[in-house]
Amino acid sequence: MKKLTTFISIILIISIYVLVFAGCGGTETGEKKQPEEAAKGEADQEKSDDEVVVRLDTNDEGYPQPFTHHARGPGRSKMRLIFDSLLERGENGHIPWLAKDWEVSEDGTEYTFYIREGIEWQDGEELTAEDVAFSFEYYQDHPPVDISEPVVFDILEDIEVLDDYKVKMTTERAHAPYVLEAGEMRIIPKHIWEDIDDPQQFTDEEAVIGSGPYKLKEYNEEHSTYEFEANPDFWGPKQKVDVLQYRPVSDEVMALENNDIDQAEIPEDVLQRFEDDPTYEIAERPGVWAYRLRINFDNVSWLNEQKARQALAYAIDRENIINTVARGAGIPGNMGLLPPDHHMHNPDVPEYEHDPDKARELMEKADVIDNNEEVSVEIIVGDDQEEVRMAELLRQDLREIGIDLEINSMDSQARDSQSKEGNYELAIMGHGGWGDDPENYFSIRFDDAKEGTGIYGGIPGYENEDVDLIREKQREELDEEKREELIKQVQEIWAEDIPEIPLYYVTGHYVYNKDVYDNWTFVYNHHSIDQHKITYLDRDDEIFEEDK
Amino acid sequence: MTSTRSKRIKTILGYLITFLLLITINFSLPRLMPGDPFIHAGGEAGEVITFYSEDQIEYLREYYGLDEPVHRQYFSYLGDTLTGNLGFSYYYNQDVSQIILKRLPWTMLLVIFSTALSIILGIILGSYSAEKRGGWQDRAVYLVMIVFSEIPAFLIGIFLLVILGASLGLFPLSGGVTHFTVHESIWSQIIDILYHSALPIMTLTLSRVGGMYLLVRNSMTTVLSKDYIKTAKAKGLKKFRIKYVHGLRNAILPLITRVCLQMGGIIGGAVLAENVFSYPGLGTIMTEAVFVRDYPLLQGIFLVMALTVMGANVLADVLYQRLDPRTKAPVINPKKTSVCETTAEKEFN
Repeated sequence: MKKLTTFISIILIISIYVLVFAGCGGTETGEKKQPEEAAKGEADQEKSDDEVVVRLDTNDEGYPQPFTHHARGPGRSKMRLIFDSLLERGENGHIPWLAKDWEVSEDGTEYTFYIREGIEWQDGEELTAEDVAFSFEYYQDHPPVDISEPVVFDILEDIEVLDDYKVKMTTERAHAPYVLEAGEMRIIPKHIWEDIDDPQQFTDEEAVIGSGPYKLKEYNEEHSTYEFEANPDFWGPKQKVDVLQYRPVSDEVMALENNDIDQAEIPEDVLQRFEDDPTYEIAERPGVWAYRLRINFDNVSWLNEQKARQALAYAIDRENIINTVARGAGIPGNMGLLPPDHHMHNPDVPEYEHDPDKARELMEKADVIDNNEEVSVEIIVGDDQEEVRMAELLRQDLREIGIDLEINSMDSQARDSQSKEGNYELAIMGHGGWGDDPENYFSIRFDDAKEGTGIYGGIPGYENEDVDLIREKQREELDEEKREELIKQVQEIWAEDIPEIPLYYVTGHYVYNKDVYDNWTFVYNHHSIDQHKITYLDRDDEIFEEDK
Repeated sequence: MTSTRSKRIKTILGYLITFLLLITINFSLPRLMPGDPFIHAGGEAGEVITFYSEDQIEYLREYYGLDEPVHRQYFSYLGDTLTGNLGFSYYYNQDVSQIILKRLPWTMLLVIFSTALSIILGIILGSYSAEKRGGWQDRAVYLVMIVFSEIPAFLIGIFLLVILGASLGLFPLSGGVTHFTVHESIWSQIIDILYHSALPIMTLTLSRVGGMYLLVRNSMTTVLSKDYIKTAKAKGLKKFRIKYVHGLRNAILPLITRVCLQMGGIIGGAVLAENVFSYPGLGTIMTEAVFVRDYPLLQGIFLVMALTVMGANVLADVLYQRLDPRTKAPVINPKKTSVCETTAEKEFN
């Protein structure tokens, strides 16, 4: 009996521990805030009428500094509220940000940036060309999470501080998009980071001192909440939102209706509910995130025949896929690869509207089907419903032209690995980045094809000399207009040769409570309404003048 | 005496072997999953994912020791685990033990409260049913309980979320606390935490109570027909006393075993419930860890969960012995519970 009491007391102790622990977990964060809150108390209440607080949905995205945020859009965008870059994406193109101007030498190997004067870090120190040079050098030694353009560092040979507000970068060769790519790198304060050896473990308060419009006020990791407040000493355009609060919600639709959050991405099926309500405004998302059908030229010999690939393009009813899978929220894939929402899109490439007869005709010409025997090909897709349905629709379409599609659905991580290794015949993959500079298309699809590297593994076995030639040319073409001409040309080649088939560009809708905040905007070539800082800033500021 | 001791040693050895097996499975499971922690090429619609270049992936693999041969990784994992070092999360950039320690109390809160509630509810409803055996009250309660225990926990969760949370607005839709607020006192904070945990706890309780109810109802029926109950009635004891003191004491044994043995199921349910309500516990972070193939974090979470389940088993072993002096053997006879259940089920049918 004595032992029994012991056990009961152990259980009691555990429950008390849990209660107290749970209580303490909260107190910690609560207490941290208290002194500040108490001091501001009344002042806060007075100005609360015109204080704009925007609340948004999030997951845990890591500590918002360049080395610890998570490798995804929502993580990156939170870090970018705090950290600035030389250039910033505007609504119609890149705009000068920390750099007020720049020069490119004629041979395209010297890039001089002129840094704005009088910019202060959030701790009061001045931001100078030293910090810019330091950031690039530091990133070369310690790759940050947010490094979508490693080429910037691959070709960077030398970086030189000319004076406090002038920095010159020398590259080993001309690279047309260099200004834009280097312009996206976040600048970090030298006086804080120069002593940090392991930036991935640097999670002090100092690690989130940037020069940007917002300061991190609170980050609670276990609850995955973030609170940002406007930086009163920000050098740039005035903030339109005073406080940004992020928290995880169980369901975005319910949370928006319940006023837990003020903006959300709403599925097409329930959009109706917000259409008639005057409190809400709906914004359509540009299509720069897409699903594509990838072809492995090494593994499917008959697809090396151009006509057979054109037959596929005619056979696949992309409108039908959009209507069935995405409930209409999409733009049909364009065989020139670049989406219609891209600023270098060529609208004159052939459209390949759904035409089974023409597809069959082309298949016959391609001489793929002998003796009426069915051609069989395997497709790998991820395990989410949309991709599986897409594959099923493809199977229907391809059956019409005598191709038997064998669907192999797997965990999306497995699909990613297999496609990187080139271990597939056909694959469906959805990803972003379709709004990026065309150089990105080349490197993702055509560079890697030969080297067999890169995250997507390129297009195995595909070769086209014309594409390679244009790629070389456009990379060194510093004249924007001439370069755009080249990019339009290559889209024509792609549309004829069909190295892959974009299925559709995903659109969709954002709904926001306009009584809370109605200044939302998109930046060019990006799909999101909330993952960039200019959406929270006053766009009447002169910095945006060139952007209009 | 010697025989008990040798049996005890056997039991302890058994647990040790289980633990070793567990750690091994723990190590291999995440690695058996297809995919790579540093390749996320596809993303959710609308998300732009950062890709690592070949060099970076190599660097990261080296940094986290994934470039070493598997057996060496295994032994270093074994060594680390035994010394209490759970490793460093790839994705969260933090010590795994820290991540787990911060989230575990939230999950335990759900598990403990819902277990307690489902036991209490199970006992009350079960003995009520046993008393009214065969009557319409019994059938009604039985039906409701069976329905709830057959619905998966997350469905109950969604149902409660939509009805009680969104439509009626009685409870918050997500989270573990009201964010960005300061509480005046510890009490208002505790109330806030309980308020936020209400729906997940309800979900878990509802999905668990059916099993408890069935067990109590059946063993209570058997007990209530025993002679000593008749004696008690004849003595003119109060109904309450007969039911809960004389009856329950004898009917509760299988229940305790069941609660402990079902710990795994309860924790599994908690994982689902947390995901439905975006509750800040281990479950939410586990789904994320699976998605990004964060090996150390997955191993850590699995280890903690498995240890909890094992601990519950040990507890069942020991408790059972204490409560029922007839059971001498330190290992629970699994037949005992199953016999109880099957005879009970037969009786009803």
